[in-house]
Amino acid sequence: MKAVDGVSFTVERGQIHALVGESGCGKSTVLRAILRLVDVYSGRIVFDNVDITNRGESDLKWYRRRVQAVFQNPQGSLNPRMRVFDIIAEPLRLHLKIPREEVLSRVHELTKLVGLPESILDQSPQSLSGGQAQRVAIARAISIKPDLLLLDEPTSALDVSTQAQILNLLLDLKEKLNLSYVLVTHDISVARYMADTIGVMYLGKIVEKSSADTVLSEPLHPYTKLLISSALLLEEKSLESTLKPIGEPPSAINPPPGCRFHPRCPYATEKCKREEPPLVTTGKEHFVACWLYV
Amino acid sequence: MGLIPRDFFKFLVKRPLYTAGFIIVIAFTIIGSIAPYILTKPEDAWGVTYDLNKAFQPPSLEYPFGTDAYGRDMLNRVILGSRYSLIIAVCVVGLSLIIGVIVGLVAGYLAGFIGTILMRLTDMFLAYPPLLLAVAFASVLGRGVLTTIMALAISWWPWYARLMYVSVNSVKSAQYVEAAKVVGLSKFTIMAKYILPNSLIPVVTQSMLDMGSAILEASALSFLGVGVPPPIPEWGRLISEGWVYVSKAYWITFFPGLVLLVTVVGFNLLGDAVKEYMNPRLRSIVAKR
Repeated sequence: MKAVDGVSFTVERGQIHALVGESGCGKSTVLRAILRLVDVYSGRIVFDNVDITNRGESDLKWYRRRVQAVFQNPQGSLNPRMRVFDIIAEPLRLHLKIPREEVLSRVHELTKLVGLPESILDQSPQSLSGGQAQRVAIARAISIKPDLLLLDEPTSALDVSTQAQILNLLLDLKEKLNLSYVLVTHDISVARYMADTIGVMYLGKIVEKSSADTVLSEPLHPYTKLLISSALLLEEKSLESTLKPIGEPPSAINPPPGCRFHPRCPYATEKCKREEPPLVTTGKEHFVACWLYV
Repeated sequence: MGLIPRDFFKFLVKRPLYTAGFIIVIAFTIIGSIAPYILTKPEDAWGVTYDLNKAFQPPSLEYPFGTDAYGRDMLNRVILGSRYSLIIAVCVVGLSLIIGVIVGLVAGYLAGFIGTILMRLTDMFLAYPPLLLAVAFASVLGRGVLTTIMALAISWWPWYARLMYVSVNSVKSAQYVEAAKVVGLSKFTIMAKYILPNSLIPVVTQSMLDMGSAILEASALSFLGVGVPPPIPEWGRLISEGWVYVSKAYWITFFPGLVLLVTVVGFNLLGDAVKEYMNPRLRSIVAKR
């Protein structure tokens, strides 16, 4: 089974790359592959010119220290049997081997950095609100000063008011700590707010990628247009959708032949049903996989 | 007692039957713990002397439970018997719990080759009726308190291993376990700090429910003559000793049987209480710990 196929992107230092797509399109699987939580059968993951695709866990300790992640469900990503203090201190103890007093002061620093009160350190994760729990998860992830942070729908489980706070915190931390992010989201407005570059995924494939401005202002692929117009539709009710979504996404386990989007695409031709479009450039670093532009 | 949430008592008070079970269990535990110090006729209880002139006395003020074929006071023997039942039950459940938790944890988390081997081994044990297995092991190991404990534990642990295995499997896909991998923790640390504490509750609860059955099975082994040897007054043995005389001296069998019945019912009632208390609100208890 190929859940994800032909997904290729690069993240530059200090940049935010967003992977956008509807649920089930395989964007989280890409993150899990980068984190080596699922096996990669073909393709390569290269970090800082080192191929980590097939390395064993014992060979990955340096990588774990430099690549961290924040998950979708904040409460679920914290061990309910540990105190918040120990959760934040765990990576420090494991990777840095620093004396206890220093762990203590670092944890307090981190708590302040992510905007949590110190009283929280003695509590168990279940007593935290969603936003607080996500801040704890962020504190844990940045505690060992990684270079790359993978964000898997970091705000989709939170209240709307908390979402903005967490996104601002992440932008803030990126500047302070010189981080790079890979952001996975189904929400194109989150991508618009955060990303430098955007890759749009559909059923396990990247259908369009470019800088965030280009993708958002001049979308080419019909699916990207559909995503953007439906987001606009939510924001401004008066605006008519230029594209109507046709039906539900088909199964990723058994994708349709040809272009994977053709059953829902208003511009689909006979060719789209038979042949898969290649990812081609249309000039100035704008890539799209659609027969309309070949 | 810090492990018992305070509202468990509130829950008990509203249910008289469960309260009775709780009181029986507490009484049994206390009597079992201090048995050697409250005996009025210790030599009768330990069975070191006998006086055939006093044999087969029916229950009276002097001998509330009557006397046995050797003229020994049954009340004292039953009281001392509670100690053996307590020791055997606690050790059997404890030992099986330790083995079962380790096997289930390793098999569940490591899966793969080791996991398959361990679980097939578990299934092999589960294929036999536990009492039959215990009788077989007890007759090979010989009679004695320690061998009885071992024989019962051998037939008992696979049930905990299975339960633990299932519980580990549901915990190991939790997001906090993935987060721990991303942090870079070793498999062993993840197992000990993440999987174990989060998958222990079902199996520990089950072990509490099993105390009554452990007492009953220990007595069954002694009754069948492969458990605790004479002159130790284990309840099952007392029952089998009196069995021969049941038509002329019912009390030798009746009173140990009655005490065994009451104790096991007490444990089962308490077990049901724990089950009912835990079931709808499992999460809130986890939070309180």
